[in-house]
Amino acid sequence: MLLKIDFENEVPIYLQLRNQIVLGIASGALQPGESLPSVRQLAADVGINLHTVNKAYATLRAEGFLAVHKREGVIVRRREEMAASEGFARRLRADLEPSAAEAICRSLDEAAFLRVCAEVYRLIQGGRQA
Amino acid sequence: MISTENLLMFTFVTLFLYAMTWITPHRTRRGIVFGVRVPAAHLDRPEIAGLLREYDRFYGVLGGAVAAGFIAAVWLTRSAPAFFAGLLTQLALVYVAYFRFRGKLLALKESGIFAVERPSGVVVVDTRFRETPLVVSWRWYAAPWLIVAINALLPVACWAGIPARLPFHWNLAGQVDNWVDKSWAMVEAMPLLMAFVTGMMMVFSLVLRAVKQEINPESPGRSVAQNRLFRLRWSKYMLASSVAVDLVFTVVNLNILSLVPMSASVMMLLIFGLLFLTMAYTLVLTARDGQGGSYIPVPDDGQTAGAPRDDDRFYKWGLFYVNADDPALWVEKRYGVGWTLNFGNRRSWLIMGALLAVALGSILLPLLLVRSEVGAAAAEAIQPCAQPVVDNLLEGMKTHDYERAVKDFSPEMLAAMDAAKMRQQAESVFVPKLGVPEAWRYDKAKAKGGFVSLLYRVDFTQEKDVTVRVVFRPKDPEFKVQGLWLDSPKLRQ
Repeated sequence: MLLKIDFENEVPIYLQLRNQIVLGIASGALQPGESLPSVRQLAADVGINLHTVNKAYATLRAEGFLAVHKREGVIVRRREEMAASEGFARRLRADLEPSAAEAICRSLDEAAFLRVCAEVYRLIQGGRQA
Repeated sequence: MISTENLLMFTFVTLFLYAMTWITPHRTRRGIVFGVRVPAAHLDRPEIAGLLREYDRFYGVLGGAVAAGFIAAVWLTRSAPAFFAGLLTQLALVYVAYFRFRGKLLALKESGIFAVERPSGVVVVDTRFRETPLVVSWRWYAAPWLIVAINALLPVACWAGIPARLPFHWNLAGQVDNWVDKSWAMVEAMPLLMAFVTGMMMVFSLVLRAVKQEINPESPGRSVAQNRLFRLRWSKYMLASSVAVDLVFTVVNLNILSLVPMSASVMMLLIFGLLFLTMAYTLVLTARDGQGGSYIPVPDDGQTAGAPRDDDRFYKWGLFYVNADDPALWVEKRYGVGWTLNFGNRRSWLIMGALLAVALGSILLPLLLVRSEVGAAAAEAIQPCAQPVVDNLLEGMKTHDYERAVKDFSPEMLAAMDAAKMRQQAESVFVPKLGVPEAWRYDKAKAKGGFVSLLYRVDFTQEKDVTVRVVFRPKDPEFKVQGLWLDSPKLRQ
């Protein structure tokens, strides 16, 4: 998978990494059981501090997306192991709140808003990135 | 006096450097010009193309003139100072040209004409980059190791055929100027060196795999494919060049072991031929593929991820990558084709130190062997063997047979004084003042600067006790005369 890090974006690098990897898993760019580069290797390839990659991987591990084994390294977990948690439901609402609010302000009606959501969802599921 | 083979090598190295330096700014990664990052939107500006054309004119003409000038100077004078001055001047010119045009580009950048609306800084990394082999398999290194093994086993098979004194160093004139006594350490010296070089090449294979990914975000798919090919091609080249270098050392080894009758001339030509091929191929790789493989024709898949970041601040002078936050050790060169170290990483200084030590050691070690002092006892010891040479020299002078007198002169000595010149010197200076040598006896030996002087007291027709000093190289099995001096009160008048 091609990970894209935008240094000019205000989103923190570790979060960009985390989001990219989740996107990769969702779109199938990263397959279950596939291994990701080690912390050191990824940090060196991107050109960032080890701690940043560490934080991204730690976050993904805590959220259940990745498993870290002694021998195999960093592995993508199976879909079944990532089932929706209460924490996710709460975060989903929190993440959608700013987008929905701005849509209302900018007079985007509910149907249009839902259409956009559906489009993005389907694009990812179809193996492409929005 | 530099030999023709060394002159040919100088000529080739000069032309190689000229060609490589001229091509380099045209084959760096697109978007980096003289070590300065230029946004993609502005790469097609006439100022950039104009700058490169100006460089071509500047370096093409000045570099060409300097190259041609030194080639002519070295061929005409055959002098070592011209040789070294030529190499140094050309290297200096490479940097003069680089900094001159880098300065112009920096001025342009500072004037703000490369401004973009939204600064962009995308880095793309392929998570699967190293999952499939990037470099040629180590099993192919069986070929160079076979050559090493053959060289290592040669003395075992042919010990008796190896002479007691081994030639160990050739000077710029192509002559042997130092010998060592045969021993296991000396006969295995070349195989050891070959093993070291071959091992080093294998280690470079690992480096090629570990080098930081540099993917162009403007067309990442194509960039990945190009970079993979680039690393693979260079790893194959490293394998081939380790074979070539091992063959070069084999030629040298065969000469040291004196197992194959070969003139110094042929040896030099073989060595330089192999080195020529090895170096010339890097020109092909540079011109054809460019840095990172960015000029390898690979179809564009149309995907894009954004524009690269302005990373000028991480590169000192546009040449040295210094980023302490980046754990990467090996990175691509910013100017030129190849790889270099991240000097912000402390380990890079260790590696740099080790590489410098190896390079300096391999140059200084033979020189140290040559300059080693001979003890007084060893100096005395050569006298019985050198006596026939001295006898012959003085007999020749006695009978005005100058052809005979110069018979055992070394080639360098002969260049300064052949039979005709000696006759002229003798007849205009020595014979009128001193006469000819009639009787002589050995006095003592002196050792200095790698040479041994044998001093004789010689009775000439018109003066007794003239000091004649005949100079030899202590380990020369043929005892060629390296120097001749006469001293007496009458001569000093």
